[in-house]
Amino acid sequence: MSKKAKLALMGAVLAVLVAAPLMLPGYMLHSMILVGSFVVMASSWNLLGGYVGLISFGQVAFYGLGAYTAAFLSVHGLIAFPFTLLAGALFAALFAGIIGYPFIRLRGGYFALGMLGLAEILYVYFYNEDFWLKSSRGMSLPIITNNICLFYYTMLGLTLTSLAAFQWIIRSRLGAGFVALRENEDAARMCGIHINRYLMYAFIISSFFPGLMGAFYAHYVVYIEASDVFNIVISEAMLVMAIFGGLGTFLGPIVGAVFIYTLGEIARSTWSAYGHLIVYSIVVMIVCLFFPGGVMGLLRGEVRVPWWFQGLRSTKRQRNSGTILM
Amino acid sequence: MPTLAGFIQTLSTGIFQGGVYAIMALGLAIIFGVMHIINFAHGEFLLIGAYLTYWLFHALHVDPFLSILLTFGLVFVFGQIIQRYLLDPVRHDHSFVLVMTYALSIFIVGLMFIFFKSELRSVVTVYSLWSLDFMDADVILNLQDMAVLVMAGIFFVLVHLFMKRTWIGKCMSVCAQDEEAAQLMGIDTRLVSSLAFGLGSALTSVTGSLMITSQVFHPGMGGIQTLKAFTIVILGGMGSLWGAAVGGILVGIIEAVGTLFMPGIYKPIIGFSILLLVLLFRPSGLFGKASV
Repeated sequence: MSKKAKLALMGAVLAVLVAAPLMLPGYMLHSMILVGSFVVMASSWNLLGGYVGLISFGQVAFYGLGAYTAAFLSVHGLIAFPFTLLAGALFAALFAGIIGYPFIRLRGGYFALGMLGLAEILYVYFYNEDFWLKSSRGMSLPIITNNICLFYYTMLGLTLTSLAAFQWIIRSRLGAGFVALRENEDAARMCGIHINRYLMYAFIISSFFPGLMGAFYAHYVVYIEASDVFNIVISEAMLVMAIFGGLGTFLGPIVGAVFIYTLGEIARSTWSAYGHLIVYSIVVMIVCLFFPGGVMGLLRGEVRVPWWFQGLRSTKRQRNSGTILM
Repeated sequence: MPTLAGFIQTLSTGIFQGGVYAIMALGLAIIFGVMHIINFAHGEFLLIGAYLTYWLFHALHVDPFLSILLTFGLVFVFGQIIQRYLLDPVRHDHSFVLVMTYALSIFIVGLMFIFFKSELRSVVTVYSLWSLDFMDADVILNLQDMAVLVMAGIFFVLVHLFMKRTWIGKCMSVCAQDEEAAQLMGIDTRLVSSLAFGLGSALTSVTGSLMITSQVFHPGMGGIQTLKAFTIVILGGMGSLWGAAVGGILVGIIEAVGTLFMPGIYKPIIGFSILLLVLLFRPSGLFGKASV
């Protein structure tokens, strides 16, 4: 696609998104707001999981922290609405910066384990906390407006700004450093990349955006409780969306968020209240087995054939496990 | 201030709980030791065992201690299928193995929620409350908990003998050390690793069967159990059988003693603090040799 065509397409999408509240019913707008927040969170997960290569199972920890920060600040009337979003995001990033050092020293499964543990611990803490935040009873925030369009446009603005920020980070020296880290840590160190500092940057950036979305969510739904904002399903969703769309691509998480959210909602509303869990897990299994590059990889022609699937197609071919055909 | 009797009571609770944890960690130690896979669906295999026992007890009135055999067999086959058809094809891509086991755990949790709803379930038999009293009934030891501890001991000895004395157990050790060399010696590594995964997950589900006799289960509690199993295995040293046993009993005691000083709801925080401290200061565990 030429540059002009790309710009025209982006302009058309933007125009449709801006005009959407005029045509769509409230329920659709609500879904689009949530899709927007998942686009941002899947992209931020992708920054850590796709570009740096640290798989995290607990990014929801920062989402919950952002939500509780916004709730605390606005309940006590310390900071007004649009600034609480920034405060929530900054607090999540600050928390990540403080606790980050032990986590970034872990690799692979150990990092995933640590993050899963962190999310569980924060959930247990906020679920039982009855001392000064009194979060065990949930928190009610002051209502800002009943007009869903305002939330829609705020979310649209946040999503576009965040995506622009991701694109800028990925194209910058920082993004190149992240990819170098993922490909070969020793070689990256040889090239003068300060490993721990870069990992820390990635960790903090990928906690800032869930914090922002958590703060937005708190204002949007007005009442939050720990089992809602620390729900492990949110980190599962981020991971599934990023992997489905394609790790390490800019468009992947966006496609993944839109598609997976829709599919999950359909399963949840037509089948069972937990149908989305089944959908998420089956999608991930299929993608891992057959399309390691996700949707974006499939467009490039990346397909993996597991050994047992080769056997089903023809018994003559050599039974290699998991060959990637490019 | 806890009295001596109270302390002994707490300690015995910790040891009973720890024996169960030890078997849970043993399963994980085998899976990690042979395949170097970090299995995030571990707690969910525990749930499968627990709910299978629950279902057998309530629908068919099968004794929970008898249903262990059936649980073991079923999950052994199930685990082998998982390893052969889901994990083996992606084994060269470590992050996909992680994601795959995680997806498996979401899948099992989803199914559990759909079939068993989010209610608390447990199995209460006629003999659940039989107990022995000591020190003027200040220390009460539940007979069923003791039986569970004995079962845990039996399982540990059997697994230890299996891993060290039988041909297939030795094959597993060989695969753990060097997979390529094992292949060159004519060992079918795909078969051995699927057997190991089946054995590990079956042991875990047995733990679930034993646990549901003394505590309540909920479909969402797998994650905490996975974390606990990892805490124990990392504490004991990844892949070490003795480490898993000692680590299990240690964590059981630490948790029980910890609840003397803080509310029981913060138990997971104790476990997680141990996990992080060990990962930070002694990544090879108390008994392990390999480094993280």
